[in-house]
Order: sequence, then C-alpha cells, then structure tokens
Amino acid sequence: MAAKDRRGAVSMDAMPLVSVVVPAYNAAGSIGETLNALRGQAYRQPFEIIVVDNASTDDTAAVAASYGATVLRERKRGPSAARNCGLRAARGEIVAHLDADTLPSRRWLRDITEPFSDPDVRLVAGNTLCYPPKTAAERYVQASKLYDTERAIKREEFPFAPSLNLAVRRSAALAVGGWDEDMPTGEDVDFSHRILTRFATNIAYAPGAVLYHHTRADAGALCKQAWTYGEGAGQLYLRYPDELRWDVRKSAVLAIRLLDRCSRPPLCALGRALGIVPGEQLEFVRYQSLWDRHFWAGFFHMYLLRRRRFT
Amino acid sequence: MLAERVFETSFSLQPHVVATVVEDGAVLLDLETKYFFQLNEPAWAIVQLFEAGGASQEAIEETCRSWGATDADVPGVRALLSRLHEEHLVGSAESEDLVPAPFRGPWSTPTIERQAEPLHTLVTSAFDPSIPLAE
Repeated sequence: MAAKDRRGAVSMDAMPLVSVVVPAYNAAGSIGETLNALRGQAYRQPFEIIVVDNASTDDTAAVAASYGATVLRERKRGPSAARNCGLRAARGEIVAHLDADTLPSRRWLRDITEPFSDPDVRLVAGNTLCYPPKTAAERYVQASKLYDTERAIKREEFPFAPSLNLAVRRSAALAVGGWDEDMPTGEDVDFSHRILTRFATNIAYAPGAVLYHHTRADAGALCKQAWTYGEGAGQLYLRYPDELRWDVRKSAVLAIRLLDRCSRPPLCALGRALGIVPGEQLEFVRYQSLWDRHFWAGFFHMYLLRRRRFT
Repeated sequence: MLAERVFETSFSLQPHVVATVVEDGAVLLDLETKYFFQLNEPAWAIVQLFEAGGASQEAIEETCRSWGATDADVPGVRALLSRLHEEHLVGSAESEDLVPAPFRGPWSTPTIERQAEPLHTLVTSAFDPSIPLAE
C-alpha cells in the first residue's frame, strides 16, 4: 500500500522516472503550447519529454527542441510508429502519451501517474475535455461525447484508454509488443485490449488528469475522421474474429440504424420549416447522419476488402 | 468593505480544482461544478503560492509586495482571496507550506472571471445560441 501524505494524497516520493512521449506530425503551430504546459507541470519528480517527429515537413522538430524536449525522428508514418519509437527510447518506467495539439492541465502528469503507486496498475486513462465549441462540427463532437473517457473505459466490449491522454507501464507496453503500426486508427483499442488480457487488469481512471483537445472544426475533416475510425473498427473485427463477430443480427441492427439516421435530416428539416423542430436538433441529426454514413463506409471498406484478400 | 482578514488559517487550492496555464495567465476548472475561471497573470501567480501547500494571508500579501504591489493594491489581493473562497476554489490547510512562484511582472490588479456557462452544460447541450447554426 502506498504511503499517503497529510493531505491524503498518495506520496510521490517513490515514483519512478516518467517519460512523456509526444508523437508529432506537422505540429509546429501547436506543439509549443503543449510543451510549454508540460514544462509548467506541478510535478516535483524529474521527468523527460520526448517528441517524436513523424516525418514532418514543417518546423516541428526545431520548435520542440527550442522547448528543451528530446527530439527523435521516425520516418515510418503513423502515430503508432512514433509512439513505439518513443517507447523504445524512454528511460522512464512509466510512459505518458499526449498529442501534439493538446493542452495538459498543471496536475496532468501528477494525476495520471499517481495510480501507478499500485504495482498492479498497468494502464491509466486521463480526462479529456474539448474546448468550448465554435463550429457546428465541434458542437456535434461534444454533443455525441466522442471523447468521453469514462464511457470509453466502461465499454462492455473492448474498453480502452484513448491514446491522446494515457499513461502505461513501459514494461507492460513492451511485453505486449508495443503499438500496432499497421493500425492507423483504433490502435488504442487494440493496445488496451492486449494490455488488459495479458495482465488481467482494468484501466485506471484519473479524472484530475485533465487535458484539453481541439476537435475537427468542419464537416469535411469530421467525415474523414469518421471514415478512418470506421476503418479502425473494421480492422479490429478482422483481428479479433472470435470476440468480435459480424453476424446477421448486427447487420439487421445496423440497417435499421442507418435507415433511421438517413431519414431524420429531411424529417427534421420539414419540422424546422414548420417551426416545431429547433435549429440545433436539425444540425445535430445532419452531423450524426454524416458521421454514421462515413464511419460505416470506412468500416465495410476495410472489413470486406481485407477479408476477401485473406480468404 | 473587505475584511482585514479573509482567512483565519492557511489555505490551499481544493483537490477538485484543476489549473491550466494559458498565454496570459491560467484557467481554473472546478471539476465538481464544472465552471471555468479565467485568471490574469498576477492572480495566477498568487494561486500558485498555495497550489501545492498551505499559505497564510499575511505570507501572500508579503509576497505580492515583493512583486511590486503597494499598500493600495492590498484590497485587490484580498478581493481575489475572498472570491476564491466564495467560489469554494480554496479550503483550509492544516499547516503552512508556501510554494515559491515565479512572477515576471509588471504588477497589476489580480482578476478572476467566471465563465458564463459551466462545462457540463456545454457537453450535454452543446449548442450555444450565440453561435450561428450551419443551416
């Protein structure tokens, strides 16, 4: 049992070294704010900051170096390759990850590493919050709770710690082979699953490890994100066929759901014209329909094409 | 009229309050009420004094003087402390453990401003009527 100080907080005196790994691709415009917030952490133990420049074509590496971060270069594109590069180089027993366009709160590092005072804890998820929305796409992401960490870690099937705000015991990450570099998205679901099954553990949640995140600001970017998330889900179905089986029941449920999602926008537009549906509801169902159509298109693009290739 | 003493004991930032450094100060988020509070740089420097330990009102006022505050500025410091107390952002500490805080100055009246909407309102109903809808 870890010692507690007079205020009831777990003593951090015995905390091992922590490495913060930030994968970065063309992040020269945002990473300065992220690193500045990391340097200003209310964390009394030593920690290292590793920025993995993922073949950027801008000044990401120079900006990161100007903030005193250790800069590594990973030519293989993709956040998983960048995280693995950082994982291999990390000197800390605990590796914390955040994205290069996020803003960690002062206690982020302290709170996300605190659960590791329990030796059975392998994976910790932080509390990701979106900035107050300014566009319709951002409003949709908030309303749909796409980045709700508590929901992600409490899922019945494949609970996961979102990769933009997590910490993992380095030995555990290496024991499961690190991040899967063939998965452009959904890699955090896969990574969490391998950690949880290998060590028969749960994801610890650190609500005080608050990190602010910019969401996609326009419909085009949101559709592209939905497509890639769908592809990631398709890959998970291919990778874990015994646990995630696509069957007739799921097909029927999805067909009804898509029919519902596609019919709502015109119905709500009619209701809006008649003055019985508020504008925000119409906006929400339009984005919901866009999201679902692109997500499932991405899913079946991956699932059917890859499955055909392997059978 | 502000009381001479806002606190009888040392006080510290509540565990449910999360601070985030921004360009011109910091933002506090109360995880219980979900309200954001914007602090300017002098206010943030003061909050840092008791961010990780207890600090007395006297010690804070003395530190503010070392940052350039005059006797005329003391009511502004006390107003900030009162507001932090009223909003339940700070609570009593068992002992004094003043944490040194950097402040590059120049000194100005510390300010704290609460955002109009709490975060959970934004999350559960993300549609700010002041933002034009995409219709």
